[in-house]
Amino acid sequence: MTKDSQRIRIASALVFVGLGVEGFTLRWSHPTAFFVFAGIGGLLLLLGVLVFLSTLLGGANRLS
Amino acid sequence: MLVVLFGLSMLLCVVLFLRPTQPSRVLAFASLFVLPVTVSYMGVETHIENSKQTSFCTSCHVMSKHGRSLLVDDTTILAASHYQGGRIPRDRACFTCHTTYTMYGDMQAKLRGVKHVLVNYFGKVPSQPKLYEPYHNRECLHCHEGARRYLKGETHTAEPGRMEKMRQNQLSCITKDCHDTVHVVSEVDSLPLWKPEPSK
Repeated sequence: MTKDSQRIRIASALVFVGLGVEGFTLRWSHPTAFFVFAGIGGLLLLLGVLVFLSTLLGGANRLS
Repeated sequence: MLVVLFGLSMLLCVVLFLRPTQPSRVLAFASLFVLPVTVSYMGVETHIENSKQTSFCTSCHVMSKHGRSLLVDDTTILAASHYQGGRIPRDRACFTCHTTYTMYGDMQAKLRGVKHVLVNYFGKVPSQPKLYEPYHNRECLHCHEGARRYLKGETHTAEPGRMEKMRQNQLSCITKDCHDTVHVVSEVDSLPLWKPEPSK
C-alpha cells in the first residue's frame, strides 16, 4: 500500500468517526451535545478533510 | 433525510477505507469533502433548531426551576399564563420570550448559550441566573403590538402617551404593579402545578 493510500485510509477513518460522533449528538437534546458535535466530531472531521485535501493537492498518484 | 445522508457519507468512508487504491478523484472528493461538510452543516442547523426547544433550555440544573415555573397553577404569573394559555409555542417557550428580536438577536442568543455551557462546566454557576440587560419591551411587543387586547388594555391607555413610552422602552412592561410577577423561581417548589387535561 502506497503512502497516498494510507493517507486516504486515515482520512476515511477520521471522517467516519467524526460523522459517527456528530450523528450521535443529533439524538441528544442537551447543551453539551453541541460541544461534543463541534469539539470532537467537527474536529475529527476537519482533520480527516485536511488529510484528504493535502493528499489530493500533494498529487495523489493513486487517484486516477 | 439527514440520517440517510449521514449513513451514506459513513458508508462511502468505509468503502474508501477498505479500497483506498481504487477510488476516482471525484468519488474521493465527494466522499471525503463535499458530503461530510454538507452533512456537518446540516447537523449544525439541526443543533440550532434543537437549542430552541423548551426541554433543551431546562435540561440544565440551573434552569430547572424556571422550567417548573411555566407549570405553576396560577395564571397571574406571566410566564405560566403565556405557557399554559398557549400564547407562545410550548415547545419553544424560553426562546420565544428570551431571544432578542433584532437582526442578529438569534445569533447573539446562541453565543450567550455557548458561554453559559462553558460557565456551567468550567466557571462558577450563579445560584440565581440573571438577565444580561433589563428585559426589553420589544420582545413583548413583537407579538402584542397591534393586538386588540393590548390596544384596549385599561392600564395601557390610562394616560396619553403611555403606549409610546412602552414602545420606546421608557416604561417597562414588567415594571412594578404591571406584569411584574414573571417566573416566581424562589417559591416555585412550594406551589401547586398545573396538570393539563389529556385532549379527547
